[in-house]
Amino acid sequence: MSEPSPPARSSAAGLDLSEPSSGLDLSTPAPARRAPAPSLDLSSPLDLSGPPAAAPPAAAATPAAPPAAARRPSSSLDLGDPLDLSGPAAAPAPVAGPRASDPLDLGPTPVSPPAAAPAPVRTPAAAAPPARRAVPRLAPGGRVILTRRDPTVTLSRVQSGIGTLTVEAIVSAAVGDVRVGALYALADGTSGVVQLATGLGTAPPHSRRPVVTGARGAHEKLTVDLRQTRVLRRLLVYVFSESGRELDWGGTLRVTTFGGARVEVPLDLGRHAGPVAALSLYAIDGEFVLRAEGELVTGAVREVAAAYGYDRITWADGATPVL
Amino acid sequence: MPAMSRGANVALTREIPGLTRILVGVSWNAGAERLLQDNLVLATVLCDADSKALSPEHVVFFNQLASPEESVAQLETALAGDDEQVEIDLAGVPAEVNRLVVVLYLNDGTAQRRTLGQLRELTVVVREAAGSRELVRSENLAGVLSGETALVLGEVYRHQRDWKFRVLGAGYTSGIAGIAADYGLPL
Repeated sequence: MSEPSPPARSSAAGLDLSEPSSGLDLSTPAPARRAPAPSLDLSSPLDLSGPPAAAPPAAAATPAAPPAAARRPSSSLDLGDPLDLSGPAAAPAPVAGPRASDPLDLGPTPVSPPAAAPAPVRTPAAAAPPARRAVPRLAPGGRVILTRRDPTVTLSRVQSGIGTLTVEAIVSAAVGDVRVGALYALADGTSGVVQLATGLGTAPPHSRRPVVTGARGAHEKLTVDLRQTRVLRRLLVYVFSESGRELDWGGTLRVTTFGGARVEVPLDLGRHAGPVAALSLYAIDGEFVLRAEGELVTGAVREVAAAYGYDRITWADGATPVL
Repeated sequence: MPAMSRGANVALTREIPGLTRILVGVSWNAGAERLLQDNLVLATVLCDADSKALSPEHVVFFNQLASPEESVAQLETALAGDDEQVEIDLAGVPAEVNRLVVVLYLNDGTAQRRTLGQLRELTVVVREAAGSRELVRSENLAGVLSGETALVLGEVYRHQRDWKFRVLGAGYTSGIAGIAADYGLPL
């Protein structure tokens, strides 16, 4: 802890968690700069992409839609307890370089390999730099189509922090009365629903400076204000039939960055009545990780919320949150 | 020292031998325009000799608090009366970086229809990092603004073996997208 000076400053640190920060003050460096600590842990984009395949119908959240429920574990983690997360985080760190000088910090870690002296201490996020590199990225001006096999893409800090990000449902009228909505969780711990179809046009509701705004043009869309990117923790975009009747799903959910790069999520999901969880967004250390979900949920928005761990919302009925 | 007008420059390291770390600060008065104020963003672009950004990682702002090598870092809490500040370790700036372009823009989003012309006052200041002592300050750059939504406040640049600072006050009605295009910053 007596180590480097930079960490103290609010400035530099944020960036490079991966940097050789003072060895053992794991606890401090991360939270110091970058927004919320929990985001770090989430970082494992790997985890995000992981669950889909395995998909054990874990929670009984959505009885009718087992696949959706599968995601439960990951999402609840995110929200829930930064504390729990930080705990395990400590584990990988010690590998870096135990210092005799900080017995306290080392305490919890049993192992103390005779590592090299200046070995950079890494937070869990940085612990796997190679994996991090391997994360699919969206080139400026580029286009990525998310599929079942490659369901995730990570936006850069610039793509996640300048201008706006829009999510638009490009669905032909032939499919039916398709509407868009999103569940959101903010850094202050609040969550809710943006769903223009029922008059919930902004997140937070009735905000003069919304983080997410719904609008209808040629297609219905949601706009994320990236000046407030640090306020947003996660988002789950869903599409549904306004009349509630069964639709033969088709079309594309298109995410557009401020610079014009696109991420597309095909909505060719067959016949289904009820909402479709289409895309999740996790803000991780300043970067948005987008993930195609393509989950057919039986029930209403409340069931989507339950399946994805947005469990702080109170519902008047399946389609009506109390915000 | 009198306020620096647009185009004026000063040889920082020559005038102050031993100067290694500086703070570039910006301060503004948006009056009662809350949405305007909330959406102002300070960004610093690390450019090569052709005035092009090295990469998308070489723009330092609230969502990317430092350049890869950490020679340029945005402070999360500005001090000394500035509204935003960026700290620059002159000696640590990579050799391929020739100039650090400091810009202020209005983020698109809820701030639509706001412009920098609504600012009553806008100045850029250079301080010694240690102690925040003010070295130079620009004139009020807000006076001549009208429909601009982004502004290049000034630049810290290499000149022979010194670092100089120049006040620019160059406005863009196309916002950060316009600046990004001019400085080769892929968004």
